[in-house]
Amino acid sequence: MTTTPIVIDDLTKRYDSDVLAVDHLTLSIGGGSVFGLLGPNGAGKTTTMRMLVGLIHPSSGGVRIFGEPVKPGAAVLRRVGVLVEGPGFVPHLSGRENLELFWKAGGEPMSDSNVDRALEIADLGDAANRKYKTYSHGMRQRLGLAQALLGKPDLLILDEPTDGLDPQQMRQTRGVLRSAAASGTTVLVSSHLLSEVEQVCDHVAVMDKGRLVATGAVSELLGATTAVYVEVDDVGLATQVLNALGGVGSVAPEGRGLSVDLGGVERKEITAALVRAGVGVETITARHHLEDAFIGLLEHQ
Amino acid sequence: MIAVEARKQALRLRTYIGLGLVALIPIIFTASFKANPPKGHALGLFDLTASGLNIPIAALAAESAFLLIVVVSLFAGETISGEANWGTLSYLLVRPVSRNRVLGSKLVVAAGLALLATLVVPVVGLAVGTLAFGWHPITTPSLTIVSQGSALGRLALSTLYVAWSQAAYLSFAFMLSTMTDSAFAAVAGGVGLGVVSQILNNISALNGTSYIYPTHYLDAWQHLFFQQGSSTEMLRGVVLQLPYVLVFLGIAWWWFNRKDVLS
Repeated sequence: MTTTPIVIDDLTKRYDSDVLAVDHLTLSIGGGSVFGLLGPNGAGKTTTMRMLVGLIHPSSGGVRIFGEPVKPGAAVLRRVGVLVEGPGFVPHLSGRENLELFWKAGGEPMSDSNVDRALEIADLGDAANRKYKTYSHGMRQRLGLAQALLGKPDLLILDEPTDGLDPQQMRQTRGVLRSAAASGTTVLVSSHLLSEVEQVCDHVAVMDKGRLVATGAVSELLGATTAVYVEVDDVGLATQVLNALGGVGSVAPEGRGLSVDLGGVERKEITAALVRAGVGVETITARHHLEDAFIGLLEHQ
Repeated sequence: MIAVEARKQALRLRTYIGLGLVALIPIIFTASFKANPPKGHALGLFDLTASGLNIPIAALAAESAFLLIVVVSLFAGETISGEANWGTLSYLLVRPVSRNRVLGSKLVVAAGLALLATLVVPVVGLAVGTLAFGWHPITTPSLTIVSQGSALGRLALSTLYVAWSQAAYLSFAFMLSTMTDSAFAAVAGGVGLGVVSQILNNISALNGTSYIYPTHYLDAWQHLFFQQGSSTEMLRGVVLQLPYVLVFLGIAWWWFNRKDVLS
């Protein structure tokens, strides 16, 4: 019998001004998956995550993690690894010292952590023994992720973990998240980039203005997105083919490819049509910015 | 938790700058009196250069009026706000450790550093003073001779008294530290309380109320050596700190426990 890792019940946070940062959010996050929390900046993702780990007091409603109500310093937090709004480390200490101090501050024995493994994930090399203030942005971000993984957590809560990373580091980070999930850890990751969520998450919840807009499997949610970016070797021919295809809304050149409004047509249909016409298809992805996905989502409702 | 906090502070340059500044004053005193021995009375002492034991007394009197206020406020004002500045406060509080314990460890270490800073004054003063002027009994302004052993005992008591007399602004800076992310503001608040209290205390029109200012009895320990203050005043000085400490720390705890941690 397993307990649901995260149960959010009617969670609301109202700041002094009458703004609702999080507006009656109810959501369950099941075990052993990578769950994406998607939304534009200011959607309430970070506030939600801070409430999940007891940093912010909810105005009403509550959160249970592995069945235990969350409050500041709750015992269940020992099972949770956190990276929220960027890494935070003591500048005059090395990466290694920072991880050790972080762990000891939790009052738990060093043997429950794995600093060497975490530093491996952070991929700092010799820099692990250099002062943190000399680290680049990417190194800091990776050390933050390593810190979250330090205690072999059952639940990872990561706020924009790929923020500011270069493409290769992003890929490494996605690998870390997938392997954590494969070993049974539940991963909750926030992002404002649909492409990020698409590549790593199984399930996703979309937030906007503090409210839950949609939730479901990533494949379902992408089905609701009508705009895709198609990269092909022959843009001119591809434009003709797609315009000739019944049901496709609009086709416009964008960068080295095409921005296509699918209308009701499925992605596999346009791929097949392009291939039949002899067009080499490099990639088809959902439009990269969430705003577009949102528009798709809202138009379908 | 306390060990972690102590280690964090022990590895900071700021800690050593604070302690170094405090240690510097008795050294400067000794050097300048060695170079230019004052004629007759100096700093209320009968003959400053007559014994090395005079140096820690003079240094304690001089430093408690300002420099110690600054250093103590520095140690207390950076506790929580410093973590907020580093972005480490969130990560300190997402562990299965209550906020009370986090705050308690911070307070213990800040108070320990403040005590250490106060102890540095007589210890360094004794060392350099004795080297320069020898180990002799001291003569108070009323021409009483105090033996070395007795002077040491009085000095120890005085040091503890001065250390405790800083509790009000230590608590105040500590409280501000839980409220603002600006360490500078919290430190300045502690210094401000110490300085404003001394200014108000010196305004004769306010004499009727002066006994409530936290620094009012700051020099009461000096009766152990000079004709100033009394043991009754010392006792009042000790008690006077209590309401300040209780109120400021009470607010600090209340505030920190209901605080939304955003940094």
